[in-house]
Amino acid sequence: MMGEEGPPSLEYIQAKDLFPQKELVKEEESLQVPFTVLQGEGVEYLGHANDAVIAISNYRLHIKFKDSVINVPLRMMESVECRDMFQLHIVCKDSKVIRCHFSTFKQCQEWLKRLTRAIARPAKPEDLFAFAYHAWCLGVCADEEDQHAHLCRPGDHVRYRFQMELARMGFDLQNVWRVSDINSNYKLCTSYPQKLLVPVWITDKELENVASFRSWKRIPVVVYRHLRNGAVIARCSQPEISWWGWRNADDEYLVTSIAKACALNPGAKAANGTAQNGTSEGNEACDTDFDSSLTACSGVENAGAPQKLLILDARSYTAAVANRAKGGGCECEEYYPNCEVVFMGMANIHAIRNSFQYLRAVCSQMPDPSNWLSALESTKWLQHLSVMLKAAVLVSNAVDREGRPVLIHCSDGWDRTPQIVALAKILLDPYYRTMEGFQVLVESDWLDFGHKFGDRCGHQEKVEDQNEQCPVFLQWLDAVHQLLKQFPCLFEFNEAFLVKLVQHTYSCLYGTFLGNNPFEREMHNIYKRTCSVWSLLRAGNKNFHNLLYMASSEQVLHPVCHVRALHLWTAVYLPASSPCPLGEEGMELYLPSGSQSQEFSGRSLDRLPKTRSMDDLLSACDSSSPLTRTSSDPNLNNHCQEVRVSLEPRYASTDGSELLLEEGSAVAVRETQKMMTGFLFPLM
Amino acid sequence: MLSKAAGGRPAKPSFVSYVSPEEIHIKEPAGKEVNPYLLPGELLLCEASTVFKYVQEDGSNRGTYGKLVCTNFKVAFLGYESASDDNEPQFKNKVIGENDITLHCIDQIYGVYDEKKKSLYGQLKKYPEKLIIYSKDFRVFHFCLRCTKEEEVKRIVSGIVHHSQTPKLLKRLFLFSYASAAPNSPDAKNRTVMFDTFKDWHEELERTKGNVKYEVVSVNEGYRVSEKLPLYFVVPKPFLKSVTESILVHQGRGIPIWCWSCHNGAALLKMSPFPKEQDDSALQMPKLMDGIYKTIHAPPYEVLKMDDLSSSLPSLQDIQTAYTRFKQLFLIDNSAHFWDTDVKWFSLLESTNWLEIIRRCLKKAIEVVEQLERQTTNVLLIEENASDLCCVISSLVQVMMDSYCRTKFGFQSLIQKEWVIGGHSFLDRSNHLRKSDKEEAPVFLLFLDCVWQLVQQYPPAFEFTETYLTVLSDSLYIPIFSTFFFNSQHQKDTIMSGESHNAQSSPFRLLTVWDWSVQFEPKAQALLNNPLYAEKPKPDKSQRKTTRFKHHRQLSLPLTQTKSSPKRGFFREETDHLIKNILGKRISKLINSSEELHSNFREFYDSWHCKPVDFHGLLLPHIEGPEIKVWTQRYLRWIPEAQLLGGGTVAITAKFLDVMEEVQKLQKQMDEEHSQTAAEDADAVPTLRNSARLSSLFPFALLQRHSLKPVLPTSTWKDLEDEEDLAKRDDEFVDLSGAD
Repeated sequence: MMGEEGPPSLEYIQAKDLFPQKELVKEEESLQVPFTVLQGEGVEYLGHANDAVIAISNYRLHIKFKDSVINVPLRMMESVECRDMFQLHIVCKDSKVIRCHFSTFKQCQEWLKRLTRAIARPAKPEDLFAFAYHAWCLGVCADEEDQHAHLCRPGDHVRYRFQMELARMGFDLQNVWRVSDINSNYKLCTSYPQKLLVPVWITDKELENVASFRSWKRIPVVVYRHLRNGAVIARCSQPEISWWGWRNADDEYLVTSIAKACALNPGAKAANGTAQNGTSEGNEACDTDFDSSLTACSGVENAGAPQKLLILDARSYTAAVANRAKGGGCECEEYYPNCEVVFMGMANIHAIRNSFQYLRAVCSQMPDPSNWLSALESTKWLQHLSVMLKAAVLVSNAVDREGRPVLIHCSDGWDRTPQIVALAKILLDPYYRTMEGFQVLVESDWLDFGHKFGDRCGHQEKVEDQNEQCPVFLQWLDAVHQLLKQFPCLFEFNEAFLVKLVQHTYSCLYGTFLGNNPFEREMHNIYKRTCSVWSLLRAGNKNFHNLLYMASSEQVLHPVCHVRALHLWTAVYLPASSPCPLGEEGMELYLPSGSQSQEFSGRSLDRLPKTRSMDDLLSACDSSSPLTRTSSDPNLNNHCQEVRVSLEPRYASTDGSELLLEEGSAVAVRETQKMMTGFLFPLM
Repeated sequence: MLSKAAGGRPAKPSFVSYVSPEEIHIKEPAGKEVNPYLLPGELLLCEASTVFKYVQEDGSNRGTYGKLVCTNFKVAFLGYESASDDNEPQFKNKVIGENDITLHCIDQIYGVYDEKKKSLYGQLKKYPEKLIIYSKDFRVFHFCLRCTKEEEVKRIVSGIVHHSQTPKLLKRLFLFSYASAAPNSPDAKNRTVMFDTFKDWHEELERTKGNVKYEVVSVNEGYRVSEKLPLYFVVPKPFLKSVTESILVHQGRGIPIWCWSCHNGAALLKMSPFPKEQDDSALQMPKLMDGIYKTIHAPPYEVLKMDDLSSSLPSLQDIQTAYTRFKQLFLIDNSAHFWDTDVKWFSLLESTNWLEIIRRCLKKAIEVVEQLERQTTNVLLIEENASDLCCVISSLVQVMMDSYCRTKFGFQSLIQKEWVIGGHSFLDRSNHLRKSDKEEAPVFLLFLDCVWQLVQQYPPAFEFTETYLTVLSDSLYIPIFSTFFFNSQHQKDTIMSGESHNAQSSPFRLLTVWDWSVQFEPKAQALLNNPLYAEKPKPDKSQRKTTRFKHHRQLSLPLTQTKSSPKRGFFREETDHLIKNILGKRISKLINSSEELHSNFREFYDSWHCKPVDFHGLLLPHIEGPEIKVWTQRYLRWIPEAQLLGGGTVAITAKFLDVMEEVQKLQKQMDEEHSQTAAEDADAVPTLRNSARLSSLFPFALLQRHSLKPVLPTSTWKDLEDEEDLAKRDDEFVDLSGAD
């Protein structure tokens, strides 16, 4: 194991040595590796396909055609098969399909074998490229500590997120709420964070009792507080009612306590609100009895009493009842005073996986345009998105307009629950629409609360169960993309940011999404042995900035969620058919010279030829991006700049593209550019 | 403190009112008589008081009482409670108010009898308790007549049904009563080329440099040749001298008429074929024409390719059927209906076939572009009458190839040239006179929808916005503009000369739709212009005089300048064969179905899309399934469920306007700094105030501001109190943003 404390010089030799590179097998002596390798990346096979050079490294598959390039991380691939004797057919987890032709059957079989081996599930976590990448990166820079900080630390807002969020959301930790350490060292629940927020009068003993009643001991804890009216969002897993109809007094107490605590710690508005304020709020509520039509809630609450808590079960009623056979179930309204249970009817991971597979089939084998719409409908992908958005809107309306606390769960509380919770938080709070806030959101609601990234993405070692795979996070990112489309000026990040996030969910270049829960990540010391994806998607990276962002807007988002309004995310699922890039010379012409600094370096990607699949996905810049990071420590900058300059010639060799985003994100950036161009030009 | 906080909230009234309107106390028009605003020449025909207009048919019975009137121009609802003036919408039509529907804009009228919806037409025996009007611009009005006096109900319902549904004489169009009553305002200076003079055509020829090989002819003066053809049109140069008399016989059939010339000299032509049953004299014709085709097939003319649109594009009947089904998807009665259809949205949309028809038109236009641009061949579009799909395709080709047609005036001139003067039967196709449903087909709307696809794919390439296209499509139903109310130039001229004979007063002028000041204030007009338009570095549209001069000089260039196609030899041998086929009307199939065409198309299309876009050059639309979209602004604009507050493309525009204003301010400051007081007259940048709260349906949604009630959580309607409340909330959030 590599020790952080050891003398630096010694350490980096060790770190590298743990990940030795394999020898390159060349099919032909004259062949040259057609791309620049990343730190720790070694090409293992190099050969010829039809009109193309094909290479497999420990990180990627690279196919270079005459005028286009396919570049895809190995872990992004879901399956490889041989079709029609001579064709490799590769299906990717983000819905892309790659086809590669060979001249002989033997050759095709050989590459099939190599590729199948390369994409097999890892035997141990260290087999994932993120570890090798990190270890080799450490060797580049002399100053180990700084280097490590840059590569791994996503920034203070992420590291101290729990405390910062508590302060930001204004929890009254003196009288109403408390942070329980019952889960320190993951004693209680391995898939929960170590610090849990509960009403102050709930004891750890009671929490333990509650844990015995909830699936995987995922107890109801509070994750968000609305600053204005004090209503909170809480999350948990299903109660284990089973066929016997068990009850748990502590669970009932905890759930009703959450609503009481909200009333005790009211928001800024209610605290200093006047009578007039009250009436206007009343009007609002009257205006918003809309949910009655959707959820059949009567929602009449008594003045003075705590607001009725909304228990939102993401499943359908039948699915919830069916779960009783497996020991689960849902809350019974009679046992939970002042609560209302609403079912959202969201499909489970198996249905979503099926839907995604249909979508992938439709997108890769584009039907005749006249059948496109019905083919799209038959995938049900947008319908599922619509339901997810509806659930989030329901939560945000309950919290914002009615000031009602909401408790959200599904079965295990780690798939549909984070989807709804995180989406509702984006709707409610403009902070989560900034780059920084979005990172905090993903870290806390997805990673801390144990969304099983390892299983869902198929990175987990030794597991061959396809049934656990499901693009839950991707589906959520798609929903965020829909919001971004609907509110183009209210997000600090752009579409490219989301597209990148999709890729790195699967690429295993960064350690952020490895493992199934915080406990596993800590056990494998992933935080210290891999880089963080936020070092690429950091707030300082102008490539991911939405040029239209209006920072001042504080509004709660009210998106439309009908299927009519939803768009297929072409930048991810259909990168080739998205609108065309701008002319490079045009771009130069349009941009004022002052703005042609590195912030706009993303423009160089316009020069890339468009291909059906991905362009150069991750090249040198990803490895160098941590170095260019404008960190909070000003001393680091000079040093970083030097490194950067010294690396410059290397970029030149890779097509001159400083930052090679893949096709989809390029398209997304382009769209904004297009608008900027049109706009800037007349003013020049 | 606690109890106060919680107690500040009154119980939430969660009931839905099921009382019918008559049980609600009616606010009588307390002495306040509401009178309709009448245009010059507009006559009040019938009226009914105490009519209840539902705000939105969601079962909540919300709405307002008022008077329903029917004039010879419109059906209008006048609310007793006049809207306060302070929320005057930023975008207001001066002719058509929020609750006005012109008679020509009425699409379907339904009556509700005992909860059953029945279509109303002809003589009515029983009068409904509820009247539902669907308009052609996709508004849906629900009127309750239960509180109205029976006589008034009879009068108003039969009045509306009669005046909007029964056949009319052309002379009875409101157009004429308006024109004779309206003060004769001096013709506003308009840069739109009307193409009603020899000069206009000549200049167009010069602009496109088509004057080398084509010329304007005036044989049709007095409509001697044909009533379908315009007074002046353009034909190949050597053409007329030989066959003037035969043209007369065939009313212009068989003549290739010039539409537009490409920069490489290739031209787009159109022609209506000879009638199928030919009499003896007609049989002579082919021989005469034979020579002509040979001539224009030989140098200096490019190789000629023919395209029979009737065989390669859907028929007018198909278009009409598709649109009828398509529009029904957007005429939504209530939100339950909206959510029901949402589940099956895509298959419903696909089954209408409308998007597929758009796609086929765009594809056909790209094919023609390919032949003009890459193969440098002349393309001759053939269609019976050459005034429907010919117009669609030739206009689309010009929009794609000629950046002038993407400016506002260029686009308007194009519509004048190809559609209005080109003889598109607007009157019949829109069925304005309610004479025959058979002739009805939304061909022009199809064209606008195709253009919209281009606009949304390449916004910076167009000087106008989608709002422009939307209000243009609405103008199709406003009978004070002559533009869309005649079948041909001949029809207009005849009736005008007849009218002016009758009227003793000075001859009146008909308005053209291109005078946007009739409908909109300058501030509203600004919304028709695209702030993101990437103007040409040297804007030649504002200096047309000089460019004309430049072109003029090029007139003297030798004819042989255009390089000849390498394929010419081959095609010349084929000519005889081709011509036989033209006359047999089988030609296009032979040419079009060829494999060669398809692969050419594919290659051309793909290679163009690989390259970066030049917004001032050739523009090809994406025509894959996911890229052809629904024109949301036009079709969904009145549906509250589709509204986003602070979102949509409007938000982007608003943001850009903000930034633009800022830049202009800074520029002004800089100018002042440099003491160059020669400040250019500040182009009033339209500012969309309070843009964060702007509805995505802007500018149309504001007209429906009173609608309050969200039916589902997805709805984003807010009433006014709510907005005040939000405003307060914003203040309270200031700390938060500071903390971030």
